[in-house]
Amino acid sequence: MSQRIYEILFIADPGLGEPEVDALAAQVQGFVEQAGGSVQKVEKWGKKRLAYVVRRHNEGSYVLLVAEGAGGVIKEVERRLKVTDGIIRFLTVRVDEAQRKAERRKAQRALAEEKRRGRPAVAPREAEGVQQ
Amino acid sequence: MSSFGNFGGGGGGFGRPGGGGRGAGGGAGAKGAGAGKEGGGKRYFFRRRKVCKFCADKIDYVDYKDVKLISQFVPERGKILPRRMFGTCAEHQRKLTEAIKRARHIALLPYAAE
Repeated sequence: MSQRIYEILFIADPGLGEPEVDALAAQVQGFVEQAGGSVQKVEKWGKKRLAYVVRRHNEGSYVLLVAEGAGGVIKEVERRLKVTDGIIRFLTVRVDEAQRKAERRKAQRALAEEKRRGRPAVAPREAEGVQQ
Repeated sequence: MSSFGNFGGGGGGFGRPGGGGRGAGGGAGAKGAGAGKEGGGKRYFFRRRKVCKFCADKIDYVDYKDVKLISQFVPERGKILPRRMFGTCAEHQRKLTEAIKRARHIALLPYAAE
């Protein structure tokens, strides 16, 4: 099975301090690796205000993980995320398809631009896209 | 920015996949035909833009994490605005909706705000 790329974004209890959040992130990383995947990137967003009350909290610490693995990996990781204490919400998104399509579109556009203008295209303005 | 000028007039001649060509059709009256500028049959106060913002900026992936971008399409009450307000093309509206719903789930956007 080919490798799929997932984004795992979870919200940690705001009552936890920095080191605990780090420990949680490491734990999740462990989940991924135990299930046979590999972690590509970890991003900590720190405390943010929540748009609505989640389990009686008004803010939470966001952590983003980008992981790569086969299909079954994410199911296992999600199962564990559900039971982990410090995590109050999580969201997993599969992004390899979207990334590939976006890359293809960009490449096509670049080609089309070059053909029409005879010079390399100006880099289009990008939204905060998915990063590898 | 002359590339945008061409974009408006060209419409189909891009070599982009079918979705893209249709997408520009959202503002097909782009060059001033003005057709369908007002939504439905009723009079609205808003003029919709002639080009889809995403198409114009050439954004391929609507990222649910990009709250700044996403929230432009969500007003105070938290509702998702219909396409005709912004002239978004169908394809991007679908992606946008999906992104908004994800953002809501992860509490980056509200479901309903007072």
